[in-house]
Amino acid sequence: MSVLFALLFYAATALFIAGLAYRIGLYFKTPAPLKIPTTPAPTTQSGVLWRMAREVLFFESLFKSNKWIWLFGYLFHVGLALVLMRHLRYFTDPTWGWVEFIQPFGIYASFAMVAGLLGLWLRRVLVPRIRYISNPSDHLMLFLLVMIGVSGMMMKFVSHTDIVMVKQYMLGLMRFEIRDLPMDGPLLIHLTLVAVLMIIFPISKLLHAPGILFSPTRNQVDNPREKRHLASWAAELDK
Amino acid sequence: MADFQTPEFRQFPSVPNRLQADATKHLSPFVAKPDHQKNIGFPGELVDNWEQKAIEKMGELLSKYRSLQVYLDSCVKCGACTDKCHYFQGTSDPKNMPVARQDLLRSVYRRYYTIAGKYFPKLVGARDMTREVLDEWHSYFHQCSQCRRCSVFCPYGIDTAEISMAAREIMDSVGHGQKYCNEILGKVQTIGNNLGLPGPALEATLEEFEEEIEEDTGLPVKIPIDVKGADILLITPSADFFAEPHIDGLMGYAKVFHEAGVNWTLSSYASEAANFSMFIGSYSNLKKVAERIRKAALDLGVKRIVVGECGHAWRVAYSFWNTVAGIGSGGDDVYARELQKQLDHSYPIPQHICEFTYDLIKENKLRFNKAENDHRTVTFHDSCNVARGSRMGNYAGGQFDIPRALIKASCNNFVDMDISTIKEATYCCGGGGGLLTDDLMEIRVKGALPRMEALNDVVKSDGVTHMAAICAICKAQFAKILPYYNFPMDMILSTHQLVGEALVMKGSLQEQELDGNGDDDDS
Repeated sequence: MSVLFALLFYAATALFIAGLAYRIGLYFKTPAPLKIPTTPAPTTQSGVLWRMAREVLFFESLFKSNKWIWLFGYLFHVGLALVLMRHLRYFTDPTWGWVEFIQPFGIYASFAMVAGLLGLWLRRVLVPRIRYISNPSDHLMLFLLVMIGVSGMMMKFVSHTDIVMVKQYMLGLMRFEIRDLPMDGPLLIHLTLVAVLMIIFPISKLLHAPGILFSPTRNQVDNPREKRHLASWAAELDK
Repeated sequence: MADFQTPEFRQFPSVPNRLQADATKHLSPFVAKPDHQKNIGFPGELVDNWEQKAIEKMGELLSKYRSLQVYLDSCVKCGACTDKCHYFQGTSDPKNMPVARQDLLRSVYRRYYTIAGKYFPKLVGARDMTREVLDEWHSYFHQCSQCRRCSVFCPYGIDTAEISMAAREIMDSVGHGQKYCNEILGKVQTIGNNLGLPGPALEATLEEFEEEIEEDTGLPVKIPIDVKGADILLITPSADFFAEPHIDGLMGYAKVFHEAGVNWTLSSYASEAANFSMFIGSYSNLKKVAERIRKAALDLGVKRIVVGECGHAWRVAYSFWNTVAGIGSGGDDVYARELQKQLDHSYPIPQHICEFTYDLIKENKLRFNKAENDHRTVTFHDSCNVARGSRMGNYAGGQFDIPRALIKASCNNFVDMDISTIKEATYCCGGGGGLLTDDLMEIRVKGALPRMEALNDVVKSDGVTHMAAICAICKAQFAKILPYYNFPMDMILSTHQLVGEALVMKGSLQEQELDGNGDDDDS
């Protein structure tokens, strides 16, 4: 079983990294032939960085759009970020100081994360407009994330797993040594679902994470009169 | 008046939550005739094996447009955009929700270009390219005015305009285009303007306007055309030559140019600012139409290029001209240098007529008698392509302030509509993006609902009598649909009409009236 999970994680990590690298490479090399920032837009590169930072850190456009989706989406993402940072303790020895520091916040962030997800799911079911645009995969994605959160919380708050052993296992994986993994239900569910999430990340809507950085309406400088913007395939037409 | 109901005003402002599936499925514009298609480089009729060709074209566009690739991948179906489209608000048809409109194309993308869609189509809502899909595209991608309101509110900036442009280009490439856009694009490329107005007819019209201005002001204000060596080339939508209230705007520009004492000209070869190539997503046509303006500028030897009141034309001019035709600054390739050497870079290239007038106002070079507009209370409709696809002045958001500054300089009574319906959140007039055609009247009327509600609100609370715009499509659309909502059709004005009517030109009858005859007060 420990070997099986080791293989699963190696495969998931490889697919996650390779898939994401391929996708980001694709976005990077696909040209944006025209200037299409949604205006009013920053007129300088530093202005664009600030605009992008506001989008990534505060979900500015979503805030303008819909306060409920913003609230639930923000709870989920901030919760997830803290939880992920907290999980670094299982991959580092000795654990970094700042990871120790956020440990208590990270634990309670899991509640925010699951609450945000349930809020989003509730809207997906109850608001006719959002129900209409939902595919089975959209529900499954929420199910997956909720189950990851709940199974993780089970281990913390209901039936404890031998976390020291888990850490040894993870540190071992990182050195390509396979050690013993505790055979606890919640842990195995948690790990399986995380592996599934990593595998589908580069082939699903989770691509919104790198996608936003490549969004021409958000990342372009509004200076078309001052600078000639020309994609390579478009430059051919000038000849 | 028509075989459909004008929507009732709702409680304002409100969010639609009631869905009526397929409410506007039947609203499909006329399909382009073989001639319209071939004139602009597309196959005349639906080609053999068109399903395969359409999918290949999609692949080509995916490799050429980062926007398309990223936007098709990134949507998480959060629902933020679902209530933002004016066509959805006016029709309640769920396929007019931006994300659902995108999904009409995204579903096909997923089927042919993603792993999930290839192996689990049902799971991710992927579908084959079929005749039914094509018909749905023809309906619903022509119920999008590409106004980009949804892109403002999307957390990833997904712009439905980019998707609908791609869908239209795919349809064109397999021989299934839209008559209105493609017919017009043929005319602009053969005759020089959307209306097919030949040079001599244009000259005669302009002479009439000159007479009218002279009668009104006592001054020989000129509207010159094809003048070699003029300093400024004015590129304006051809509607300015024949439609109301557009004409009054053109006469406004002429008065401002006269008062500024500049040497300007129109061009009969490039007598059109509009460039419908943007609406159909055709880069090659976009370039061809813009190159007419480049050629006119080179032939006439002008130093500056000013663009008249037109929304999408200003987006094309401001955002795309430098790219597609080297009309701008900062180009250091052979193609761009040829024109850019000739132009005067101490002014923005191109410059909007509102920027031009605004600079004169700031320099105190224009004298206004605002009382001329005292019989009006005016509000301003931000045109979508100006508001969200371009800029004026030297800072972000100048496109909102400069036209308003013009109106305030020439009117005493100005009121803005509700903040959720103006500036970057402005609602489309309902007729943009290639929808300004009689065969789409129902969607035009219904799509105007949110703007009409916001207008009604200020009519009731502030006694607004007129709405000014800076877009030829907005003006034509409102003149037509205001009566459906029981407003007078002449409620819509050109912004430069207000400017022109309040402008007191030196030596004009208006000046004499204000200062008294024979009085040599010069202030």
